[in-house]
Amino acid sequence: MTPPLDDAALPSRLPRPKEELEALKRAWKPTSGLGLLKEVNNNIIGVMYIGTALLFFVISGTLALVMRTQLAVPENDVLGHSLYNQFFTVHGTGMMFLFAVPIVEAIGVFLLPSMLAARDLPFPRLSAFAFWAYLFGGLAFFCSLIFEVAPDGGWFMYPPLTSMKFSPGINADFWLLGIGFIEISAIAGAIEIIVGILRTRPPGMTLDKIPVYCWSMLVMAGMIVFAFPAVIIATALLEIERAFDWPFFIAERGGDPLLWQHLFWFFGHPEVYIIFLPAAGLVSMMVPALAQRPLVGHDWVVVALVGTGFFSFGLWVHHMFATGIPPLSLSFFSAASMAVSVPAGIQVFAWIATLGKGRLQWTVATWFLLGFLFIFVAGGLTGVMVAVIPFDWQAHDSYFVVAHLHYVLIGGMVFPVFAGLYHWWPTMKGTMLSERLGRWAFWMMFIGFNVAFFPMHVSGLMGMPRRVYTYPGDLGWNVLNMVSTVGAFVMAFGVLLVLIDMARDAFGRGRPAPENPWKAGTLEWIPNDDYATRSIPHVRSLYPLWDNPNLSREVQEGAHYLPGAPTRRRETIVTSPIEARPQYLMPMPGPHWSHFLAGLFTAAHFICLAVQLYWVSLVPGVLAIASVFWWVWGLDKGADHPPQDVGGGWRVPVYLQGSENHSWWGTAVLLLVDGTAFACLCFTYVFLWTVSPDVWPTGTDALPGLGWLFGEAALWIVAAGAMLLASRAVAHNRSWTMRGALLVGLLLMLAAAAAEPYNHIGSGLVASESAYGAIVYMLASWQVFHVVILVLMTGFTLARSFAGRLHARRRVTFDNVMLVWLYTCGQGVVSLLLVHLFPRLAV
Amino acid sequence: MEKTAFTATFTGMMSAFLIWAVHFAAVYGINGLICARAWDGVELYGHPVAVVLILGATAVALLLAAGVLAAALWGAAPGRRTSEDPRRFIRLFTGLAAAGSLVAILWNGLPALQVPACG
Repeated sequence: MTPPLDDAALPSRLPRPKEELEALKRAWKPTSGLGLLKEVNNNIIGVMYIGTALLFFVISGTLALVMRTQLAVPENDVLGHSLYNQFFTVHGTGMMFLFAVPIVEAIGVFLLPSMLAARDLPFPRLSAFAFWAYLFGGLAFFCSLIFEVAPDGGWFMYPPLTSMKFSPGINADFWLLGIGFIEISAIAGAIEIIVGILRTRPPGMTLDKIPVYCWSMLVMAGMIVFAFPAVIIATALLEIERAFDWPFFIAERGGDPLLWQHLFWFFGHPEVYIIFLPAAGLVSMMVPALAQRPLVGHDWVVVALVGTGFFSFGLWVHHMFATGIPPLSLSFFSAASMAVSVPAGIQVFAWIATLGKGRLQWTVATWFLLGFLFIFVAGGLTGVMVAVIPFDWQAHDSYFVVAHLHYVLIGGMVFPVFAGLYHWWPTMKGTMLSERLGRWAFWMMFIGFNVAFFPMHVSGLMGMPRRVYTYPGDLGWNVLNMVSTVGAFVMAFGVLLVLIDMARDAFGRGRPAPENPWKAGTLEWIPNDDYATRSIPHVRSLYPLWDNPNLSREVQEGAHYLPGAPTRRRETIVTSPIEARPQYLMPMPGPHWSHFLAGLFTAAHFICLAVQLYWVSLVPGVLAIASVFWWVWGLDKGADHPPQDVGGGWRVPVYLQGSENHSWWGTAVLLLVDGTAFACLCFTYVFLWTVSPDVWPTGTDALPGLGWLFGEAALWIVAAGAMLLASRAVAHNRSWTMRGALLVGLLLMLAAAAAEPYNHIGSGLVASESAYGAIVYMLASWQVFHVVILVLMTGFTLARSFAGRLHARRRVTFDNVMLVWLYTCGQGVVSLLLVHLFPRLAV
Repeated sequence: MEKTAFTATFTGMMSAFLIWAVHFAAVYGINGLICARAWDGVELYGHPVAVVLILGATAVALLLAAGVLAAALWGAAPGRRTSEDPRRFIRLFTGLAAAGSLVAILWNGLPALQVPACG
């Protein structure tokens, strides 16, 4: 007989009242049927998200198989030149943007709450919106292939090949608008993940007790915040160049195609680590569970993760070694490329040491992990080779690079993800995938992968270039290509076995899993339900289930925090970011149609733009905005319940204003994204001046007078002051003062935003004439875009005020708008200083 | 550990990495500008301007990162130590990050001694 728990030291007294669990179940009851479209629960969204990413993986992989069939023999004609270009572009884009990043975010959406014992991530509707936007956008992107209008410029879409002159159709627009839009979804996921990890940890999970996977996701999400804006700006600039002939990349008018490469690879190289680090985090969680001992050098691994994230931003030019950049500049990037291998090496040694010290369980996940170690280390070694500039000059744009990148990406990410699928499958619905099928799948994938990609190192060194759709038969590449093709099909068969295994489980043939089948030590192995764990445990170590064998039972009996649903709705505890002390009880939004409609209409808007139905695109655009307003109108409920007892003597409020509110954090992270995008525009300005000073004004005659600078700056500053005045008015419940200050501030901002393009037009500056004109108007347009957003946000704020939903004790919406407002004013002043003073001061 | 300001703590933990990032951007920007403006023939204190400026920036960055390392190693000793006190971890993290950044900054700065600025 199991001895009774000693509840004297536990946060909640046992036994719990019976109706408490029923209330919890009722609050978290999932919707069914069509209602699934309304669902926001991470357990459901996470599974759909992972499934969609796998679907896109299969589609992208199928394209690769067709390409390998084309290359199996010389002078083959399965695919023509044009279609082959579309295939490799969609394959690369699909794998990088529609599989790799989304699946790591999807796994995060599914796993993070259970690893943190949170009831859900803090913005469940944002996760659901990100998923639907991704699904609709991704499907539309692949459909472009059916109509032969898919992009064909490679996954990196270098201009001038993708400029209007050389790509006059809508193929490139599908990439630029489609991928730009899907990145918005990735950023939404990143915001969710950052705030989730920092603010919804269980009590006691201080910084030093955060699981390594959560650290890796935190680093990944942080990298998305600082990397993705670069490619969003790049795609915006190229699309604007194509649509309006503003010459950002056209050398004849002062633009530079290298600008694209800088912006793209500032995103593109960190992207590799955005993909790899979460996979490394999964490995760092699986290895201890499979070896039954704590991860060796846990703290070092955490620092290595963060260090890799930082150093990876110093590598972007290592994709540009052959572009004629000065040798000393190349050396900086070569040095950084080698430096980044050190933290990666620390992780590899930590895994090997842990595996070596433990008693290894030989599961399917173990095999995939060993396969990962072999392939990833091999890919890392060729990575060091291509980091050496003279070698890179030889191997550049050859199949050697194709081999290297597939070793790194498939080894570093696909194998750990498949290991993770087998390892964490039991947490989904309590069943296990087949160990026998899994092992077959592993060996097919491992052997197939090496047979497919190892010969590419050789064919590359023998001179076979990338992206060729065929080759003559007398160059000595025939056997190598045939072997690669056979290997690719063997690997694909391995993937098919995994899919069959998952389908078997879906049709009820999966083996029931015992509780915690691998005897792991972390929180996601506590049995859970739609509401996550019955109660939120107090954490005292990195492996709480190993340190307290009773913990799972304590949690399931409701002996820890928040054992019920005290306000009768979905909610979780928000804790402080360092000490993880309970701060308030966060009400969570439930099922709703708004996020689904917002995702659908946003996708429709971008698709209309891609196919050049500009006026039609306004309809879904307006509907998307309306859906978002519908979505957020019901949030920010104020303190509609008294403070609640969540256990352990903690009585916390159900609403907290100011910088401790989770949505304030979400807005702050969003502004980091925004600030990075603006920094990329400033970089564009300075870069174009560096390469084309001849199109910049040499005297003050061509510039608007300094009076414009001071006048517009004053407008922005007074507008910021008006917002601060409105804030004081809210604090004292002076509604009409607040409304008046907001309206006056908004008018001032509108005037400032309109004055900037107006005075440049007055000076005779034409955007399409030179890169200088293009970037000046781009900076002005960026500011106008922000003011348009603020018009909508201010209108929403005023509507809430008139509806009685905004006052001194219920001002979270106002505070978030204030953050965006003040940021926009600051950005406006910086933009003015750059545009008006730089040409006067530059040599 | 009582209530701690997140921004200050987190920035402190990341400070050495941030110093590396600023140094990296600075040396790349300096060299890019010197080459774009064809200033590679200019000398400063009898040495090419790129070498002087890049080594100067490297020295400053090394000093700053060393300062972070020293602060992590010999900073105020933690007082009350409980299982919920993350200060040991914060100091260890800061120290390791500083040590790693010192090596990375040095590694990034050294090519200025060997490689011509603009070819």
